[in-house]
Amino acid sequence: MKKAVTPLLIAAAVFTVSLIAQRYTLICQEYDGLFLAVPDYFRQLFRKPLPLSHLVTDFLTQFFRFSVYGPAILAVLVTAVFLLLRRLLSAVGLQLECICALGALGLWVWTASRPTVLPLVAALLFLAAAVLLTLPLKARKPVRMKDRHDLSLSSAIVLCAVGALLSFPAVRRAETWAKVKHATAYAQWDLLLESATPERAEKNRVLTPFALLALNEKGLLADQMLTYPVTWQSDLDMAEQGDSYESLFFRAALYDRLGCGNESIHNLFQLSNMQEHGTSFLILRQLALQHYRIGNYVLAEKYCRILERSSLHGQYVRYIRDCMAAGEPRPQDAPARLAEAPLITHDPLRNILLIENEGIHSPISLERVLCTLLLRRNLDGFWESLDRLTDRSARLPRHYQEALLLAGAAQERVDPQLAEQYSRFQADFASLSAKQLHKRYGTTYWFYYIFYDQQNHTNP
Amino acid sequence: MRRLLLSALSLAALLGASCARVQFADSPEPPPIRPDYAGVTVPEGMAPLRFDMADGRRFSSTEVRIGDTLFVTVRAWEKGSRTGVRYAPFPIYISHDPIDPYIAYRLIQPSYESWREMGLYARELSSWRERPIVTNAATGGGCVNCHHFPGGDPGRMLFHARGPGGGTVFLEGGDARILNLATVGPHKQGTYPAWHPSGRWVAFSSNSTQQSFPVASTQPIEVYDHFSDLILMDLQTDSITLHSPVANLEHMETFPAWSPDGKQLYFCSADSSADVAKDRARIHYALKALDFADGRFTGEPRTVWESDTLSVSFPRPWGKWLLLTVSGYGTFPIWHREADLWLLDTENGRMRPADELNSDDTESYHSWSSNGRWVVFSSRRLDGRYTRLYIAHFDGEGHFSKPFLLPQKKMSHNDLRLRSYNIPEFVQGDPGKHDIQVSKLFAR
Repeated sequence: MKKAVTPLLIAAAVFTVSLIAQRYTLICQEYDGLFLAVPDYFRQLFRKPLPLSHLVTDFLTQFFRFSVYGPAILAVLVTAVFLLLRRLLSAVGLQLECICALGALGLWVWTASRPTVLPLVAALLFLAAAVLLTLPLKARKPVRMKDRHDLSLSSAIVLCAVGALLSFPAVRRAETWAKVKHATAYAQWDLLLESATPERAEKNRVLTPFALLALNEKGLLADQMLTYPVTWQSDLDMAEQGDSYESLFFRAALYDRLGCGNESIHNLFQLSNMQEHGTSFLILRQLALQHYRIGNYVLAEKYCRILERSSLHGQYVRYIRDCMAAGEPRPQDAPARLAEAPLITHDPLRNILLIENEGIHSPISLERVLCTLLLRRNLDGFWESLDRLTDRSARLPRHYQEALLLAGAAQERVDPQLAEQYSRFQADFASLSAKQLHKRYGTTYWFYYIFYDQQNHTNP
Repeated sequence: MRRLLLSALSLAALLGASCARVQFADSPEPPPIRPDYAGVTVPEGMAPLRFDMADGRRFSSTEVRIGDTLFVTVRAWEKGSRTGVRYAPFPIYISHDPIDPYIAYRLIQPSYESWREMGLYARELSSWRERPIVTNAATGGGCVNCHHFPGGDPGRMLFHARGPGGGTVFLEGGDARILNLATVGPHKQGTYPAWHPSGRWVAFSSNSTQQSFPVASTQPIEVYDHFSDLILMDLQTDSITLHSPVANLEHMETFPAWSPDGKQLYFCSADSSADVAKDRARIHYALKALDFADGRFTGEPRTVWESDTLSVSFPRPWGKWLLLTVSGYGTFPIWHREADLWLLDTENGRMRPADELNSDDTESYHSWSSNGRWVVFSSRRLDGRYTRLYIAHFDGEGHFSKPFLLPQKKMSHNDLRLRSYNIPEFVQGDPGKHDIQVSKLFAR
């Protein structure tokens, strides 16, 4: 019974801490993972070093999709490493639980900052092989400390490991990003905003466009955009961030929300080239969904068939097939239309207008267009679009009113309190330093307009 | 042991009994199978053609060969059902015209702008075996493309390896060398190659290519050239020369292909445009030819075939026949659903769509076997996105047989593979594996 105390303690600690501190990190490991019973997957797998470890890791990672399974599997893995270490040491005559606990939990903490649980699985398989090899050895009389000491030390090591993992900045950063990614993939905008706060975005700028997309979805972009560290247009659309994982993932989500399936698929394909297996569960699910949405049922069915070769996609595939059964595939465009079809550009604003021109209307488009014009400091364009596209009697969001004050236009649509604040800003502008102004007016459009250098997008 | 034997026998009896319980009704129709192998012509010794029922039913098949025809009878039933259908046998014709034993192709994710893993592969036609010739693991992850085996010779090959330290890799008689064409002569990089039958020269097109992505049409990608020229490389001197009629700003020349006697070069040509993306629907490539003698091009190009409403690409001659891809406009037919293969009789100038080969979806890159009796081409008819290879017999009189999908061990492999087959070429022997040789070029 005493022998079970330490492993139970380890399992409980790993499960609880992983559930609290790594819940979304583990879920996102499934998003980037792949396990398919198809020849190309296995061919690729067996070209890698440690193919068995990769195979077991990929297999187990599938189950991380469900939030409790990941921590549970992790707890089993770490505990198994502990038990195997204990068995191995006892075979050579040592019975030092604290050393085993140190080894297993040290590996857990180190693996926590890795993109997969591969190190843990590889260690487990290596230890299992070593234990098998030592089975024929005659057990030696164990050298052991007093149980009481050993248990206290093991408990202390568990506490230290938990403390180390919880205080590891890389683990916290990964969890925040994973939460944002999960929330974006499943359009959980409140969850996204809860995680990508302005303070966190200040430390990790990549969160800003995702937070702004969430604000956009909730219709709050023009009210709260500048509470985030926005210094140029690319903070809104990631247009200048190149083809990083984050920007491709963001653009796939953005164009999905804008209703432009083609461009979302384009970015998903680009993203797939960054995945270890050349694709991933998340990408395959998205490809199936996006092809269904654009009416390409043949390809949607192809991705469904591929997903069926994994262990846990039966329900998802049924959902897509039910949707297709209830819908109509899109007929192919006539060659004449194809020849004249507008092409996606490198300018996100122009792309939104092209999408709208194609008759695809998204609830986020108008606010996005107006905010992009604001971030470009194109007040003429903003005023012209605002006048043309919005209801003149409706209340204007804060940043629009701030822009109108700056442009000296349509003052009747501006809240008097805001006009007063603008007067104070004008008065303070001559007397206060940029830093003081930032402290007082950093979340206003006037500050953005005057202080952020669009070329260098630097802070004042 | 006896117990084991008894168990095995009981199991076999049980299985037999369960099969025997299914009653089959005869159908005069051929079976709805996927892919459609009914009535295709295959070479002797081809890997077996594996298929599935199009509706996913379970099935068994029996084959009977009578002369040069294989009759396949299919019995299909629903899982758990006691009734099934026995379909009318369908024929598979067997040709004695030999086929080259290998096909080489590139496997790549349907191309957007970037890639991860890609490689050139060889498939043995008498089996299902596929082996890498060279993968981009050997080139530091760069793109490998436009492979070419002159006359299907497995001992000679070239391909481009893009990226840092890249260039055109020549593999000849066990030697490997790399040359960055952009550093030689007129400083133009090579794209589509055509190796002269004599082996001394290689004509390349030099293209500036761009991809674009339609906002909302059913065509996901458009690819076009901003400009392109033809260049000629002399392998004896490693020099590159230009011939001004096919290297100028007024026209875009691409897809070179030598006539079998090496006396003329076929290529495709269109007028240049200041804004190709905008004008793309009005860009129609014509088929042209240029004379070649004593190691240089002579004279002006002459038009072999042109149209105001169609565009040609990938001319591939064999004897008097020339097989090419015809699409509505532009230079990259693989993304055009309307792209079809057409056959030109160069003696009388008559050209016709090769309807036997074509489908409602894209047909594109094609090549002849070394004896001109078979063609392999890529088609997107299976799912509209991932190109697969089809092979058809040619009777030498201008007629093709119904093409068959390159067979796989399981039909499902065609659905499950997430990569496209690109630029298939027949090869007369095993091209071997060159990863180590090529990686040494990149290690220098």
